[in-house]
Amino acid sequence: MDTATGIDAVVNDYLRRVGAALSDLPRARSQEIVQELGEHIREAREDGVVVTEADARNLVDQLGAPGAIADEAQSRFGRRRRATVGGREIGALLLLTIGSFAIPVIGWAAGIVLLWTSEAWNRRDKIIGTLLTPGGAVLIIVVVAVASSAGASGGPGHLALLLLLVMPIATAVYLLVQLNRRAPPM
Amino acid sequence: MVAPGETTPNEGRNALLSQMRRGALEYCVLALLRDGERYGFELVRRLGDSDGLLTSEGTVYPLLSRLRRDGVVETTWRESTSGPPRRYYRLTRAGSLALEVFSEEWRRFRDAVDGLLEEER
Repeated sequence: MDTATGIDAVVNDYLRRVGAALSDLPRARSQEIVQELGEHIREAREDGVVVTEADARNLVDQLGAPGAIADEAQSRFGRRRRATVGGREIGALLLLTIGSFAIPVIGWAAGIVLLWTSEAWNRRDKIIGTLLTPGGAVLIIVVVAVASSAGASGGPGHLALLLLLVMPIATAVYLLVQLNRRAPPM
Repeated sequence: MVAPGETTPNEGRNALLSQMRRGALEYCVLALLRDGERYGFELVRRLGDSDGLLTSEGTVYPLLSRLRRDGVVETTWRESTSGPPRRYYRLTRAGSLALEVFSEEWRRFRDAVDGLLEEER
């Protein structure tokens, strides 16, 4: 492995680890931080500070542990993100539960839009929220029902119905807990 | 003995110092940009050169990201002689104002604390 490839490997590995550590932040925010760290390293190379792979490792050590950067990002953005907990989040929760049954399809879709445009939930929460509420859940249940009706007889219909009722509620509770975990003390 | 959940005087002092450092850091960034724009590596190196200000240089980037969102810092790309264009950070008007206000407050605070610390000796 030549020097440039060795340096690239160190840098790419570091940036990947930072990106993973920042996964709790809104995506645009974490991408921005990772990109600017990448620019920092590139500038160090152009300025002749990083010549060898050892230099690259030293630079990365100086930048600090991905966890330290993530902690900093979390505390620098925590307050702002908390400030966004409001109408949008409450609307999303209502539409994804009661709204989905009251106004089929449209209510759920509107809830999904609110869910994904909110900064109060991270990507994982949003994916869970999308898949486990009516709409997303209907899809999963159809698959489960088809799969199980091929094998065991009896029950899939009832089980599906039960899941359809329980899953959105469980999901809403989960999203609420996640919201509360990040919300400011009132 | 210290009960679980309580902080020792030592931990308390460290927490205070790190809080002060964090609070002052954003104004140190603004101060470094007062006399003109700088690119990331240059800016971070200058901060890192100041003793005791930074433990991890990388933590400046989340801060820069927030300062930009707050509108006190903005960025612009400039051609570089040694490679591809570089992103330069510079103060906005709001940033200059924030720095001015902080400098004033900081002097008062420093003088007050210094006054008492010296007196106690």
